[in-house]
Amino acid sequence: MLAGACAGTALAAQTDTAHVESITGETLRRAGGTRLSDVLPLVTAWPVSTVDGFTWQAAPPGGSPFTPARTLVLVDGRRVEADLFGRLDLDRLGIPLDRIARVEFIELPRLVAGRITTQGTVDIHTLEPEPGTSAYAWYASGTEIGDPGPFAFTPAGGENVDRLGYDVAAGAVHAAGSWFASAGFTSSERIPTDPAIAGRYRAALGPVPRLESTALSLDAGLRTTASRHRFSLRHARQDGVLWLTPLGTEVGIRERVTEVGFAGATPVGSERELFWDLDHTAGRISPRGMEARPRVEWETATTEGRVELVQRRGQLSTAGFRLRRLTARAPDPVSRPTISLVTAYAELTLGRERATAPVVAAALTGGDGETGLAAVASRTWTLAGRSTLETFIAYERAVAAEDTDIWAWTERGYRLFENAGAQFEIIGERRGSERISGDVRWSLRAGRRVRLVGRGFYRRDRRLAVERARLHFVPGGESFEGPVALVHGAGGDLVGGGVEFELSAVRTLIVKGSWWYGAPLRGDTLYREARAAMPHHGVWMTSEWVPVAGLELWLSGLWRSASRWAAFEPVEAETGGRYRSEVGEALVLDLAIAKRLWDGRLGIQAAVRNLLGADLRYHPAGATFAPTAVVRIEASLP
Amino acid sequence: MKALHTSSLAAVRYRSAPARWRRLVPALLCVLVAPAPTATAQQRPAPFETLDLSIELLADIQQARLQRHWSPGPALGLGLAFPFYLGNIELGVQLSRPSARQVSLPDFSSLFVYVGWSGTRKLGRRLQAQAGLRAGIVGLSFDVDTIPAFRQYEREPAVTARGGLRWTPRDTWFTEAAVAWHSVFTEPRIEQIFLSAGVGRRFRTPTWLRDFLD
Repeated sequence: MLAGACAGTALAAQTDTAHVESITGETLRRAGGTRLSDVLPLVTAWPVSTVDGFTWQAAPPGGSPFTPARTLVLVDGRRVEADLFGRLDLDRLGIPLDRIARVEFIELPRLVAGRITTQGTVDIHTLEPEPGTSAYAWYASGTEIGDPGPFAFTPAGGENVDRLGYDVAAGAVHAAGSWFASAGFTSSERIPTDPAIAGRYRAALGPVPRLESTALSLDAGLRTTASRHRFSLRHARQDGVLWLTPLGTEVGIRERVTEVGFAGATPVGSERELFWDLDHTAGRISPRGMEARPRVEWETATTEGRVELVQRRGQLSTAGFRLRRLTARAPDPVSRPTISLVTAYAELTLGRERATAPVVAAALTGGDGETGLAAVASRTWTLAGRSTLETFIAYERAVAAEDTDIWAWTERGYRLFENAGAQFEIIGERRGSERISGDVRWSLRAGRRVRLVGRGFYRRDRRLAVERARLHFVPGGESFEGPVALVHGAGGDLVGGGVEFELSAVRTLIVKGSWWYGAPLRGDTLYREARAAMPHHGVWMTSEWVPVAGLELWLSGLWRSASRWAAFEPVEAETGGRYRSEVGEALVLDLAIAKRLWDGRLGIQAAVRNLLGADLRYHPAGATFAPTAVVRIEASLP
Repeated sequence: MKALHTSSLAAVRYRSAPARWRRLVPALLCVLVAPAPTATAQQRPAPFETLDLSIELLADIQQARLQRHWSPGPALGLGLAFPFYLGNIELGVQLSRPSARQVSLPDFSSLFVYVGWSGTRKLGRRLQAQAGLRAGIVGLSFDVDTIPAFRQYEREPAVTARGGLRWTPRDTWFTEAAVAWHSVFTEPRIEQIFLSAGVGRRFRTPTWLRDFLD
């Protein structure tokens, strides 16, 4: 928060042993982020994509572009429901930006919250405030260049392009010695006027389309002599759209999500600690916008509870179990409205020196007549020259009942595609996907200010469900249609790697950089097509500098290679290249500068995104990003 | 509603964007930021120690696309400048009201709200050169009521590169003459070259304001 930011100019470097990438809330704000999902483009090695230009999806290079997105999202260690029909949307969580301490991105397989996955884990940690009462408020708005201005009235006039709308947030926190409570409110509006998407949005939402989001958030924490407990209640309403490939366009939806969560930790003896959490999320989607569009009506309720024992000594370092129950309701009853799953898991440390001992972890999931298994073995070697080498081997066999994408629900009887008249088919039978993975990571801490990392990975995927589409352009609504199939049983192998560095030559400046690579080694046509939709290379550099207290500068540069979307090949021919199946490579430079005033009580930030004016888009049918200016004004007390 | 398009406009050959200005301004900035042999460290005020308040009148001498359709008229600028950790930081507004050259086009008002940075170099005891960059948002308000309200107002990012001379005949009062290249990121761009003259006064920043800013 502001007060904390003004305490000095030192920046927090990544910890020495971290094999997670951590982005602090302060960095997110310095980079010009105004919503939680803005953290995704800041992750150095996670390719991102967006259709609307406002909501981001991401997966690690070794993760999955397949159906469904399997990225695991945690808030303070609790698993939360951040996806809708398999589409990751962090903003539906309704977490105020000012409440975020850090967001960790985990790609390497390890036991986290009772899950072992190489599909990416996003672990959001909220702030535990300092004693006292504080309040904050901020407002951000901006504009993208390229509107015709007065030339709209001349023969050369053109259409307006995207305007950003606004983001506004306010909240208050009170913390005493042993407890705290906070309340926050966020609201935002997005105006989709980009010519690449405007026609579809007008067809879905009416002549003046708006994407609106409002969220309320309450958090509380209690710390006794030895125990600590957290409570959170959030409610988010999003008036947005849903893009589903078989529909070939967006449909307007109003989504309401309410989440209540408890979590705690209590010591059991001197060497053990008991962790527990319970989370319930209720989501309801109702139609919005034009009457003639497909109507999405859908309700879900998810409850997940977990109990975990952690030992500081002994071979059994972690043991626990978790229960998950998911209920869905649609206008036409689905065949399996309730899915219950139980997972038992444990982690063994096979040696006395915990930092370097081999670690083995496994999680066994059962329910609805299926059994899933995930296991990982890892070891860390300390090498000469203060470097370490970590190796990981993992196996995952997912439970099909845990799939919550639109195709899984279609197979369970949800008739959205049938009712919309979409051309689709399902080929094969859903079975839990299977993955074998290997990772090697070498890291070197050269002095206190330089960190180097090199890594490589291998992923072997089998029994995947992959969407196969060949879309055709429908000029009337600027939309697409075509046969779309979900094909079960695809598979292939992926290899990749990368290098990273972090340099903090002075305490007020951190420079980070990375290069990553991931490409299929072998696989069937569908696997290769799905992988081609993710860039194979990327280079990412960020610089965060606080030269004097109260003045903050952020500079980031990203280059990512082109991606190819086979589904849009017919569209490219039909539209004469207006929509292209290849999303071109792009070099993107972002800049932000913030000045704090009145001992940090007020702040103003100006940010420019895509400063170089690269031809930037992330999806063949998605929005384009011209250079954009964003201004943010914030206030905090005391 | 008036017809929005006029087809009988004579073809006009435009000069390309003033590339020489784009090259000249970075060069000027480099010269100004470089250590000046005549400037001593103790002469430079501390950050936010002083406040320069100025008013200037600007005339657009560019002949380009905007000027073909609108007479830009004079512009009025109001600015504040403070010494910063390096160079000076500027805040200000610039107001103009272009009038249409054809009846089919609306007049409009333009308000440029900016933040800038500039470097200075002493050329003598009372004369100094300055150059800098300003960036901000231009708000445009069109005098037309036959289109939806949200189309009557528009805002676009804009930048200005500016170089000038300041003469300080007395300790607190100064006059300025400057030339500035101003570009608004519409499509196509609005490009203007302003000649300006103005007066201003230097104040010691009140303590409360200095505490607020620093």
